[in-house]
Order: sequence, then structure tokens, then C-alpha cells
Amino acid sequence: MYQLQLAQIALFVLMGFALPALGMILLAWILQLMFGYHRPSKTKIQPYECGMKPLQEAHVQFDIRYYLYALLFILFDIEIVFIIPWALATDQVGKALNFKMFGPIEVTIFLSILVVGLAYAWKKGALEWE
Amino acid sequence: MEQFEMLKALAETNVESFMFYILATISILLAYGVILDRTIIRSGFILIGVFGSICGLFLLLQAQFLALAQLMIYAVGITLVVVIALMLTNPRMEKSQLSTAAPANQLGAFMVAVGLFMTIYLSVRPENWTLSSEPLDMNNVQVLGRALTTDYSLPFEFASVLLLAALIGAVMLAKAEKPPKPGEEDFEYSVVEDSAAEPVASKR
Amino acid sequence: MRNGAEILKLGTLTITWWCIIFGAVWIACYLVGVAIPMLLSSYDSDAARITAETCRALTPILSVLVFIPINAMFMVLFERRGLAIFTVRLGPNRVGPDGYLQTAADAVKLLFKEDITPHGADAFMFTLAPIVFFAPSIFGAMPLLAAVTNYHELFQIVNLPTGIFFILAASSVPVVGIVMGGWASNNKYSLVGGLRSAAQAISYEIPLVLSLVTICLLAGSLDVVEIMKQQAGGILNWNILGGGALRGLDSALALKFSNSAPALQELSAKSFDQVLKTAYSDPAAAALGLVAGQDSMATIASIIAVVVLMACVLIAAGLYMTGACAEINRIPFDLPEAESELVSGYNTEYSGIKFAIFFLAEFTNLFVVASIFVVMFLGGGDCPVPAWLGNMLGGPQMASAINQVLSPLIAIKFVDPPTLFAAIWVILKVYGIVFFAVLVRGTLPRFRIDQLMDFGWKRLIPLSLIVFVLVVFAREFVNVHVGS
Repeated sequence: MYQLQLAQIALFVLMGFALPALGMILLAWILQLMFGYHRPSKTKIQPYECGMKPLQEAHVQFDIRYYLYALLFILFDIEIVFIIPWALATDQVGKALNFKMFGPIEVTIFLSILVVGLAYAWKKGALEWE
Repeated sequence: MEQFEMLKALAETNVESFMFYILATISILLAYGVILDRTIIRSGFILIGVFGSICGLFLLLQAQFLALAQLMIYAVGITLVVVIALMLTNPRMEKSQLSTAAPANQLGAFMVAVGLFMTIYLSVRPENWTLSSEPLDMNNVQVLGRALTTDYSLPFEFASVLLLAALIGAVMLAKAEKPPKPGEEDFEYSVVEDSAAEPVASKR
Repeated sequence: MRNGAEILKLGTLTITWWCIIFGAVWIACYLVGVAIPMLLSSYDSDAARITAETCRALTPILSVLVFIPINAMFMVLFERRGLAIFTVRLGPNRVGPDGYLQTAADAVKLLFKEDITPHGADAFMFTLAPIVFFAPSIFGAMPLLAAVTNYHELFQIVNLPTGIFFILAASSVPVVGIVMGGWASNNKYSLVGGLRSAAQAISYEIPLVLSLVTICLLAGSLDVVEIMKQQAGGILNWNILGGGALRGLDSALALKFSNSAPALQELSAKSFDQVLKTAYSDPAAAALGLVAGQDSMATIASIIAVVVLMACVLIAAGLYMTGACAEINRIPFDLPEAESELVSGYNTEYSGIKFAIFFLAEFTNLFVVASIFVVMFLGGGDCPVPAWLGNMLGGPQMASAINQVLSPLIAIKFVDPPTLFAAIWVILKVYGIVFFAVLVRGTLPRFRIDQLMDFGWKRLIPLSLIVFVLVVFAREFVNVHVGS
């Protein structure tokens, strides 16, 4: 059963990647070779910048604020990945320990520590997009 | 008839080990791609492929939750951070200033790599692990959750503390270097006016 | 008056295209999944059996492959005609009868366009980006297939125990494609568009995932089919009203507190919609039943908890819709491709087939997101009319009449009534959500980037955390105190 499911996942992933790739190869190459549409010229392949010649390089040095948001995102992402198994098991654990509020209290502590971090970031102005 | 024989033979070979070899090959090749590619951002993108095929390996081990967490946190989250961090570097520097390391450094790196490899190899040899033959529960996220909330509840909470520390560190790093110098404002104004875009071209 | 005629035209167009899309998918699935195995079953040989099994195993992927291109074509047309109505225009109505073939013509045009790689672009990454953007829209929808076909036997295999987490993990991948395409284009607009997309996707993914985790907590499962089945039995059981969860809690309570007051026991053994039904038919009895427990304070606490739960789930649904709009770059959040600022954002340099793939994936993502909403909040293929109301309105007679009409088709296994009805409800609900998205697009202006980030980090994330914690406690109050 699990092997069959694995095969299905592999099939879906493979088709997901192969289909656009095949489409590009078949349509972009064969069709365009057949109809002779592929005639790049120097002006045509110039990167678009309002019709002017591009100034400077496109790959500029970026601002650090993107990095900060990305770091914050990872922390919350990890937090969610921790919460999901908790959410599925909390009822069973509550029953086993005969203390229903165990799970909720646990996750509240977990979240409140993170909320402190969010509040700190907010206070420090890390969430401001200047 | 020939075809049928082939199909039967294919069904008899272990599909899992077949898939394992494919995925392992892909991940090793991509890992080489990451360290060999000279364009640094491109190697950041290749890293996604490495994490993706490792996600496939976890799926083979029936650890679906772990596989998906790998995809969500490593293949997307961490890689985005890596790529964005690489975009913070100065792209004009790479061609002129990159040079191969000195032979002594190369030797040192090689020694470290060999040491790491030996450590990992010795620890993952099969005789160090007891193999269980009983089939896994299909829904093993609950098992994971039960362990996380009862036996390992303290590490569960400490994970949160660790995340908090990382968060504060990140904020400190990003926000520390902000000396409000006089005359800085004019510069910022000019940037906003002439490009109206986020990237601040490096003037350093 | 003319607007009314336009709305009518949109309606006929929609129904025609639905018949084309789902007819094509249905016939393809029937041929490969049912007809060929049935034909082969008369041959008693291993080769025939293996071929039949392979055909059956290939049905899910085949249905997706047939569905995605046709559906995206229709959705573009639907969106353009819908927007035309909102802005009192005519919309595309020249190609084919009344514009039915407009997007088919667009697709042909895109395929024949010259495929250009700009100067200085990273050609490999430039080509890879549309593929990475497109692939998750195929494999991400995999567990949903089992849910929207009402767990049909051909689609049981694609149902994963970690269903919704699989979908979430897969749907976080496309942003990588956007950043990749933006970086590889060697164009400033593309780069800014790509990075904006990254910033936006990472900000709005957290409320999106947390709202779905809230639902998973209520359902106690990640399995989409399980979640859908829990909501069976009419609109009152759907998650958007907190009902499906309440019924589960109620039956659990009935088992646990079987020695409490008989009236309360009887009450808690019933599902939530049965309670409401009693309330409608005999309010006095219902009120008596609710306070008949030994501890009336606990009952009141439980009722408050139920109300909190319902409000929280509604907010979670709103959070999901907002986050989903941002994830797929729909209009109030379409900063990555803001055409008045960034030309076309991350796909400025794309043309021809590569642009077509981006376009296809974008609309497929809209459909997938709407289906997730339908399965998680609106009960999947569940009929909104509860069974007790349906019986009063003559539902069984109607169902049997329809079965009578369809009986020749059922005999050749072309139609499976549970799947057919489920599919019809899913189509109606999903396109309802899509229509809502079009309405939003026609109504709201675009956010500014700083407003977007502020709204995400300072409003939605705290709100989603509050909703989560409230739900965690509210459901425990319902659980602990009724009848104890």
C-alpha cells in the first residue's frame, strides 16, 4: 500500500516537472523551428527597461530588510511544524494523563515565548518597512 | 510475452531501493553542483534540489511528516533566506576578487571533510542501529506528537526558547547597524525619488 | 438592463464550459479507469491484469492532466467576463460564438510566439523557473483529488495521511520559481518583482498555515478525506460554522460522561444540528435541555465557548482567504507583477510557452486554493441541505428520480451517483469561491508594499495566533465542562 502511494507521489512529481519541460521542448523548439519564428536580434534580446538601454547591472546589492523578514518567517515556520503534531496528539495525551488542560497550557507557553520575540521585534522596529 | 516477463521482474525487484539509488544519485550530483558552481546565487537555487531529493529519501523511509517539514522549512524557507542573504553580497565583486584558496587551506579543508565523513560514516553503520521489522503505523504524526507533548515536553518548550534567541539575534543583527548620521537623510531621499524601488544600489 | 443580459450570457458560458471541462475529465477517467479494465477483465491472463491495474493507477494523474489546461482556459475567460460585468463593459465576445473561444485563441497565440532569452540572463535558471513554478500545482493538488471525488475507489490511492500538510508544503514551493525567474531574467523589474513576491509569500504563509492548523486541531486529523467526512450532513456540520468539530466533541462527551443527567446525556449524544433542530421545533424544550445539567454555570460556559469557537473559525476562514490571495498573487496583493509599477514583475522577460506556463500555473493555483477552502471549510462535496430538512423537501424522491434517469449509465458504470453529486457540489462551491476572488479583484485597489508587510506582520499574524489560542481553549471548555 505504502509503496503504491509512493509510486503515485513519484508519478505526480515527475509529471509535474516533465510536463512543462516537454511542452517547452516540443513547442518552443520544434514548433518554432518549423515555422521559423526564432530570430533573435541584438535589440530584441536586450533586457526591457522602458525601451532604453539598460543602465548598470540588474543584479544590484539588496537591502537587509528582506533578510530580516525571511529569518522571522523561518522561526514561525518551525513553530508551526512543531504545533502540527501537538494538535493531532493533544486529545489523546489529555485523556492519558487525565488532565485535559495539559495540552493547551503547554502550547500556550510555547507560543507565548515566541510572542515575546514577536513583540520584541515589533518594539525594535524590525517590522517597519522603511 | 517478453514485456510481461520484464514487468514481472521489475515488480519483483525492490522498488524502494531502486528509488533510493535514483534519489541518492540526484542529491549527490546536485550537492556537487552547489559547491562547484561559480555563480553563488545559482548554487543557492541548486540547494533546493538537494533538499528536495532528501525530502524524497524521507518519504521512502515512511517519515511523511518529516519529509514535508524538510520541504517546507529547508527547501523553501532556509533556501530563500540563503538566496536573499546572497543577494546582500556585492555582485560586482565576485569575478575579480574570487580566487582559489591557498594549498595549505585546501589541505586543511580536505582533512576536515575526511574527518567529518568518517565520523558520520562510523555512526550510521547498520550495526549501530537495531532494525525493527514491524510495519510502521500509517499515521505516525500522532505518535510524534504524543512523544513531543509528553516525554519530550521540556525540549518542546526549549525549542521555543531557542527560536526566541534566534529571533532576538536576527533583530539585533539587522537593526544594530543603524547609526542615524546627519546628512544620511538626503541620501535616502534621493534614492527613494530616483528609483522608487526597493533595491538600494551599493555606494560602498 | 443590458447588464442583466450580460450576466445571463456569463451564466450560459459558465455552464457550457463546465460541461466541456468536466465532461472531458469524466470521459477520460471512465475510459482509462473503468472501461479498459472492464474490457480486459474478460481475458484471463496476467498481462491483461497488469495492464488493467496500470490503467487504474494512471487515472488520477490523467484526470489532472486533462483538467488543468482546459480549466485554466475557462477560468481566464470567466475572470475577464466577470470583470467586464463589474465594470459595465462587454468583455471578450468576438472569437467563436460570443467569445467562447477567446482564451483558446490566446493559448494558440502564446504557443506560436517567439521564445526569447534576454541578453545576460542565466539561460538554465530562466528555463527552470516556470517548471518549478508549475510543478507544485500538479503534485500539490494530489490529496485533494481523493476528497473532491468523495473518496471514489479509483482515487483512494492518492489520499495521504498527511494530506493537508502535503498540500501546504507543496504550495510553498512556487515562490522559489518566482524568485528564480526574477533573478535569472537580468532585469531590474523582474528582480524587484521576484523579491517582493518572496517577502509577500513568507509574510502571508504563516496566517494561512495557522488557520488551516486550527481546522486540523478541531478535526484531529491532517487527512483531507477524514476532515471532509466529518463535515458530512449539511451546512450546520461544516467547519465554517464550527459544527463538524462540535459534533465530534459531543459524541465523545456522551461516551465519557454517560452517568450524568439523562436529559443532558441525550442532548450531548445528538449532533449539533440536531440540537438546533430541536431548538427550532420546540424552543422551550431545547432551553430546558441545555440548562438541565447539574452545573448550569458549566453549561453556560460551554455555550459561550461554542460561540467563541464559531467566531474564531469564521475569522480563520477569512485569514485563510486573505493569505491565499497573497500566496497566489491575486489582486489586492499582486505586488510581484504590479503592472503600473513593475511593468509585469517577475515575468517581464518571459514570452511564448514559458509565459504560458506561468499563466497556466497561476490560474491552476487559484483553483487549488479555492478547492482547499471548499474541502476544509465548506464540507467538500457535501450537500448544504441537512438530511432532516432534505427529507421534508422531498430529497430522497428527487434522488431516486435522478437515479432512475441515470440508471442506464450507472449500469455501464459510467456514473457513480455519490461521486457525481459530490463533484457537482464541489464545482459549484469552488467556482463560487473563484467568483468571489474575481469580485475582490474588481473591487479592491492594490496594497502598497509597506502597507502589505504591516498588514501581514502586525495584523494577520497576531490575529491568527490569538484565534489559534482561543480555539485551543474554547474547545477544551466545551469538552471539559458540559455535564461534569
